[in-house]
Amino acid sequence: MTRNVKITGLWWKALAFLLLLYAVIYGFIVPIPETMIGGSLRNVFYHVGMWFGMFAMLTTSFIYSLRYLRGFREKEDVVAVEAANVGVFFGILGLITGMIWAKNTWGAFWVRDPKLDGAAVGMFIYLAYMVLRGSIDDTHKRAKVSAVFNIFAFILWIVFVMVLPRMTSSTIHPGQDGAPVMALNLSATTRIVFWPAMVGWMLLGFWIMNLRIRIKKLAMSNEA
Amino acid sequence: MESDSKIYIVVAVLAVILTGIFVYLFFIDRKVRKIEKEMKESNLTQFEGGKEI
Repeated sequence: MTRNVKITGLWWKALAFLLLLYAVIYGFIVPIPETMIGGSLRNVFYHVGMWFGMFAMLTTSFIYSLRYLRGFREKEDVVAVEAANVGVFFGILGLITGMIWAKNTWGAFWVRDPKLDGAAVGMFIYLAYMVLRGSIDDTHKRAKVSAVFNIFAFILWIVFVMVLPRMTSSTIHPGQDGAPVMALNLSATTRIVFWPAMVGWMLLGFWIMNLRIRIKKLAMSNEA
Repeated sequence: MESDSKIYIVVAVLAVILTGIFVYLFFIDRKVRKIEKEMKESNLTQFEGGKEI
């Protein structure tokens, strides 16, 4: 019995593909400015995309935790946890890709730097969220407690990853004020790849999140 | 582009991998959609006026 099964939201899923295909191909062709990091500057289209993806997912998770606390609808808790899951996945890829670059640029996989340490702390906050969820058996209690934690988690993540590294002015990570390479101010040519790539990575995150939510709902309706 | 370094081969490889990942995601999405439809139909037959999952 083969029916014609059409997937929903095909346009934005296809858009994610086209944007990333563009970024992967043109990202290697586009002329880049001369900086001390050379060709590895092209990493900005891919490594930074992981953090944009994580940010999009964590923001979604935060919004759905707030919404959950207003009406205690289980669906919203499902969105919150699956968004956080995909966010952590992006974060792990962001750390690994960053470490590869760091080894070749600074000579070590990890250096003492506010940006790097902030990202690590941010990851631990969300790992704690997962552990917290795993430790509560009652579904409603788990949803409520973790929604409250998630609201704190998001605010702390913003502080550790986005606010504190900018305030210290001692970071050597590119893209920050005072850092050796201001990756985001580069050039118009770099930006025509950068922003489409960022949108593409975020949309990819939403697709994976969408699949995880639907599979979770199917599993839940199967149990009920 | 560093034309003498044959980087274009790597670009082609990356394009293939990316396409592969998206095709794979597409088929997973279709599979989930199919199960969703089946669940919805079996719920409708089990309970009168069954609600959306």
